[in-house]
Amino acid sequence: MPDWRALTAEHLAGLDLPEARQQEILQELSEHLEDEFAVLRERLPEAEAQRQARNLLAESEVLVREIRKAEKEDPMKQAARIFLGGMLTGGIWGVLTAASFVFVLGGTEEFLDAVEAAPNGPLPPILYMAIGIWTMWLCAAIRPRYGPGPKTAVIASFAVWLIGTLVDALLVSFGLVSLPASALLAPVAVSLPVIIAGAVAGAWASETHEPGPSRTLTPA
Amino acid sequence: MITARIKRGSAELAILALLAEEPLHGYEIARRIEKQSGGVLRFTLASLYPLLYRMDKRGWVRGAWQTLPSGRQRRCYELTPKGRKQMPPMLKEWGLFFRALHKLAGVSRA
Repeated sequence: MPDWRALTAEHLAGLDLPEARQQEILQELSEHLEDEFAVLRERLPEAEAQRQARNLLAESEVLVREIRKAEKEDPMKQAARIFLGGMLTGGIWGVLTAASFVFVLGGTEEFLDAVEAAPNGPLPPILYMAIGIWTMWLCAAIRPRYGPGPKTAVIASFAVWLIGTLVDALLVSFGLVSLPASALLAPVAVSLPVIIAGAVAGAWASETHEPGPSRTLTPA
Repeated sequence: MITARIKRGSAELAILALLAEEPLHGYEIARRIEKQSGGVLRFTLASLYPLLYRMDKRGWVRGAWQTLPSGRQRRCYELTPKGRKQMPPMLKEWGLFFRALHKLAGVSRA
């Protein structure tokens, strides 16, 4: 008897859904093929039964396209998840950044003095929220490639941190912020774990409200 | 020959009606619909499962995995209260549709 699961996986290779959901669909469809094969086998030679059961996957391109359409999340719900996850991310960044200024960077008076003296001062809370939402949007955009979970949040937050660091470096190098470049090193280093922690928490909260695979297995 | 469009429209009602009787897995849904419609309505993988997933997302049906005594795992679908509420207006709509066709072209109601 053919390995229906492997055969189904081969035909649905382009499905590109979150791993748990993809495995669930593969399992369900391969069970369907196995049932069909068993029914056909009652009245046909094995080779013919196999051929007819395999034929169910003949239109696999249509199947992949239709499943992807069916699995596509309502854009409003997705936007709400990104917004809420982003707010949480921004909130955590605000709190952790304030804490890191006090407890970790407390000794770098040069930096604190310069931040106080800078024309725009520290980032306003709403900016943390806006960048948080943008980070969650980035997470959602790259998730089809990297899958759900903290890995994607880490990659997205690293990208955000890198862009932020480059912006800071440009501002300092053009003299738009009255801060010596050396004073940026400690805050930039401290901000990386802060940004990652906020993004992982935001992504976790966002994914918790996402429609996932079916309920766990229950005995028949 | 029944067109794909009419089939799609009626398929939701057919699935809801079947699941109103008892929870079923995908293969059994397809088999029963084919049998009970005298072979007129036939599901392919590409028509059945995407439809079930849409209905699951809408909250009309709920899929849950079961482990059979043989060790096989099957996902059974059951009708939810929200799905049950969809049936009377859908039945009414299809009733109106067939009455209209009957008046126009002498098509008898299903």
